[in-house]
Amino acid sequence: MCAGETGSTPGSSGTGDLPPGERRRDTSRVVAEVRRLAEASSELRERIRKFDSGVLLLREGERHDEIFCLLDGTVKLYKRASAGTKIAVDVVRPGDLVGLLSYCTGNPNFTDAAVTTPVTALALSFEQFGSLAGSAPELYERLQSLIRDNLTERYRRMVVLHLELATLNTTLENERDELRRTVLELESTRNRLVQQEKMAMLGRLVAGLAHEINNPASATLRSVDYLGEAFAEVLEKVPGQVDSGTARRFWDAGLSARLPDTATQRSRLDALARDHPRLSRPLLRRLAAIPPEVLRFGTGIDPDEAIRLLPVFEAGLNLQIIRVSSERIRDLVVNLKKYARPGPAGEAAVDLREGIRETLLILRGAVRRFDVQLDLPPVPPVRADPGRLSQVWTNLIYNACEAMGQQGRLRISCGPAGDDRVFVTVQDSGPGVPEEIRERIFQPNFTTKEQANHFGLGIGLSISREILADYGGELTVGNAPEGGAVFRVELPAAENSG
Amino acid sequence: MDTKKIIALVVGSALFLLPLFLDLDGLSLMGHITLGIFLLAAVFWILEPIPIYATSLMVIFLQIVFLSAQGPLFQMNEVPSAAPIPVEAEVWEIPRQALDGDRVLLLEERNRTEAAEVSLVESRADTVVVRSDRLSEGTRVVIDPGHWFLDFDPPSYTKYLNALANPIIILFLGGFVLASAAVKYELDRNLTRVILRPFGTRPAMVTMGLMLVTATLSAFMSNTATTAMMMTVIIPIVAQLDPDDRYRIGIALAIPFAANVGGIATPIGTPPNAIAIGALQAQGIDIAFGQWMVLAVPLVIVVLFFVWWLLLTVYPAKGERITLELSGTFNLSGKAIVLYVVFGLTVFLWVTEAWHGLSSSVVAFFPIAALTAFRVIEKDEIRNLSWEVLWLMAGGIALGVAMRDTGLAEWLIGMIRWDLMGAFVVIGVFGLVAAGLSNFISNTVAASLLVPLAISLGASGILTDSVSLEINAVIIAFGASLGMALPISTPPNAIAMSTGLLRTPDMAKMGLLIGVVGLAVALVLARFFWPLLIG
Amino acid sequence: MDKICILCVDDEPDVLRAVARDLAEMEEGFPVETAASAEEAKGLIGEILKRGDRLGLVFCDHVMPGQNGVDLLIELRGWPGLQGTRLVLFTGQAGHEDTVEAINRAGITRYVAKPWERELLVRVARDELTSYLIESGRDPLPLMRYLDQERLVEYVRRRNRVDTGQ
Repeated sequence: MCAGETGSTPGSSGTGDLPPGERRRDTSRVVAEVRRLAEASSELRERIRKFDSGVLLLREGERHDEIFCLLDGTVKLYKRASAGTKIAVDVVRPGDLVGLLSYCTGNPNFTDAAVTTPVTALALSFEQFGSLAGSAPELYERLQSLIRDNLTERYRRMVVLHLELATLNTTLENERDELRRTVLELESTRNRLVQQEKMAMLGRLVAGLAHEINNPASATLRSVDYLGEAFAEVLEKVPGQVDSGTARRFWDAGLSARLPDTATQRSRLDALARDHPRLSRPLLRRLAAIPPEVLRFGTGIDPDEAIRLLPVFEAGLNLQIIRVSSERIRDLVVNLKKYARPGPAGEAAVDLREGIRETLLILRGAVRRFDVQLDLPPVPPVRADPGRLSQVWTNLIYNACEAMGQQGRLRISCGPAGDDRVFVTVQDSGPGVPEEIRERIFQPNFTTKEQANHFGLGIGLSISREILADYGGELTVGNAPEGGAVFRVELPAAENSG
Repeated sequence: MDTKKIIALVVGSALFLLPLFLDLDGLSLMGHITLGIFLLAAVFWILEPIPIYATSLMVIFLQIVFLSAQGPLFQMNEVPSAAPIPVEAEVWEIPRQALDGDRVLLLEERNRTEAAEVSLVESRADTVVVRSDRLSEGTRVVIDPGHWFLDFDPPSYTKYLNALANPIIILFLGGFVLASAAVKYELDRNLTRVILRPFGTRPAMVTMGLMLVTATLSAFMSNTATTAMMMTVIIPIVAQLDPDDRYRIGIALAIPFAANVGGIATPIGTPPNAIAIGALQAQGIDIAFGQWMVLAVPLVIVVLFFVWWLLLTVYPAKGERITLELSGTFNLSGKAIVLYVVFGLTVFLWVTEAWHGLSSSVVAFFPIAALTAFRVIEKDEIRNLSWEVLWLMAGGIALGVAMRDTGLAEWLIGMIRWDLMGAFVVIGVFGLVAAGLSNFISNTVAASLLVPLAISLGASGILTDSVSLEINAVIIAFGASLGMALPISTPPNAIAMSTGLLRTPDMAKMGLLIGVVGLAVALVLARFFWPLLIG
Repeated sequence: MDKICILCVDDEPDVLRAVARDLAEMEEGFPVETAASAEEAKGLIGEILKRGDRLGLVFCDHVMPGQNGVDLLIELRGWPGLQGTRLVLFTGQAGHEDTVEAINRAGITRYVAKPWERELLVRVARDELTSYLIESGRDPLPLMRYLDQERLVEYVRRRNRVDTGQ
């Protein structure tokens, strides 16, 4: 019976006008009769009370033993929400009852009830209300009618609310999907930015590091030269047990000798072992590093002398190895500096073959296991930031290596494409790119790698495409007739791009 | 296969055949064949074109083929004979070759003959007519009275096969089974631990302890296994020493030398002992386990003491303390307990043979039966026993038996005028030859080649009875164990050498000295002490 | 003839040179052979086996031109004549999967990461060759001084057999 605090007309929420044909029964006549009957009774007349705006009829959670039947004015019901805020849950109009729920359940007030426009209400104590059927049957009948109306209204209202809720949910869902898409886009943009920032940061780091390495590498190289000269002088001037000319020859041989390949080394070792069976194998192996023509110079050198001079040769050889290694470090550093040029993009007319070669050098460790074929004839320069282009080559080459796994053939070619464009293709001998994912691979976060832990991070191709787009270029993929993927870069030549 | 081995094979085979083309005075046909086998065995054992145990098996095989009644030589050949043709009463016509002076040989069964006097009646072209009351219709006269087969009664082949299960072989098998179980349950290592503890940490005492343990264990176990186990004890010690501390060398030499010497102490200590005992048994002389120990232990103690003194003098320790890692506990599982009991009981019975009279070979079967029954040793350990060592010994024993039976040993001894040397010199020579040979060849082989000769010498009565058979055989066994100058002389030497702690000169100098001193001590004992023990 | 060889496979000559030098102290007992690629290694192993030597230990780099190290090791595992040969992956560049593959299919017993310490390399070689010798059942004495003596002596004790003298 007591389903609600009130029956109420919608209005305050602003969304809930009744659907057409579902108009609420007009209660104004019943209200007028209630007023008339109340005023007619001396006992009830004094229960007709007026309240000004702002007065609280009921306070949530407290007990109040009155029921108000609104004859005029409006009351708003508030429910306390979390954190002390109050939410308006309904508007009570003439004909509605306030305090009915407490009367029915005996619980404290369910809501606040605040007067918004001055109210005239019939305020009955619970006691009076209970005995109305006996004391004022006519009024009781009217009030019953009002309560019935309230309930009917309440039911109708619930259906409408359900409908509204459903509609709202759909809308909300759509909005949420849209939001999610937006967030994803934002995220990938952010990733891209982070990636670019990372690359830039890496570039700065590498450049700094390269600079730091460069100094000791240069110092080492210089010292190698000085040491070489000094040692040669020592051999000349310091008298020893060995003939300085022969010693000098061993020294020079060490400086210029290349480590023989394993087959040559083995055959030399076998030959030496045959000639000098009493020498130990480790010693023979060291002797085998000396070119045979040095060992057999002139009349031939007896093994004892060769063993005496072995350290001289090895000193030269080791010095040479230090020099070659230092040079390798220096070259690597030079290339790293070019590759990771720090600072903002500086567009210039660049020979893209240079960038490719540098990148290959940097990625030497990764491409070492593959058969790398370069077909790079001279092409017109393109206008771009060489650092960013290097990023493209890195991505493409790294991708190709990943696709091939342990072995395969990496083929990089370039050439003119049409009158004013230049192309570069990077072809691997991996499984190729299936037709159905050909476009998807350029989407950010697409990867075929099980763990995207390489610095492509799965967005390498999409970044590459964007970088190229910045310079009016494009990146496409196809499969070579003999298998394997071919990534093709096209860029406008510098003369035309201005 | 390298050239050296091919040459050895060819030379050995040629020497095997050589005696068959000679007619050595005083040597029977079987003696000739045995000489061939002896020469082949000597060449193969010394130069090792095939493994030495294979040579042993070859010896037994050749004996079965050529010297046994079941061998093809006797199966397929018969002494040529003919039935006499009756001419008149007691007058018979026989082939001319059958007549040997005034007698003929009557073939009785296989190669047994009996001489019968005849008188010549008439000489015809290829035949003679003789008169004799010994001839009859059923008799056969031997056509060739000088035939090699004559008067050799080939033994059954089981005689040679028996060498494989000779009591001394069973004694060794018992020792092997005990040792295998001891290794399996770490009894050897745990005994080492217990015995070493009282020796403290002073280097001299540590060396003494190590040598004592090694010698004791190797008296009952194989010298090889003992040395290997002791090496696991000393490698950590050596590792904590200064690389130029000469004590390292001393301690690394002490182990193999003690193992070699310790092997002398009991009959089962090392195979040469078995060769001597086996050969003596063939002569009907039994040496009890305890009796052997009474002969050997004094020698062992004196030599060990000398080795100890020598090594400490030549390779003194730099430090004051040596710490040994001696942690571990006895295995107390049921099987291990069975092993301890069986081991103790067996050794007790061996040592007390004189009291109860049970021969050591009989006792040796007790651990074999008990340890297999209780599954203390199982199939794996049985497979892993050193069967080839048993076969090697069996070949030596079989060769000795054949040399005695065919008269070869006696014949060889007869080639030298021993009586011109004193008896003492003779055993000195044998000991020296045994020690010298065993530096280069297997100790077992050296004993196998020399013991039969020595025993024949004793049995021949050439020497005065101040040198008995026993002393002759025993001195060779001891001499064989005292040859330890080279890494290849004995397995313990090889193990010690392979650790890289030593150089060959270290081992050669010390080993030679010990060999010479040990032999001298043995000769002194042989002269003054042993004769008191051996009746 | 009848020697036990160590083979090192690596495409960097410097590495081969350094390994051979590091293992020089063992070389009197175990000749060191070197190959610059899987192909060369296979040819060389064929020669080693043909001349009657054996291969006791292989140190193999992973990333090399041509066949990679793990595949080579897997292939070698199936070769007749290489039963018992100890295989060691010697690299700084094998990934997790490659290594798992090498353990499961090639039965490698060790992984030596580059750059390496000389002592570690020698110890690995010593341990592995000791195991090889024990598994092969050969007489360990002639080579014992280069190897783990405690293990080999214990093996001799258990086996109670030495091929020299008796």
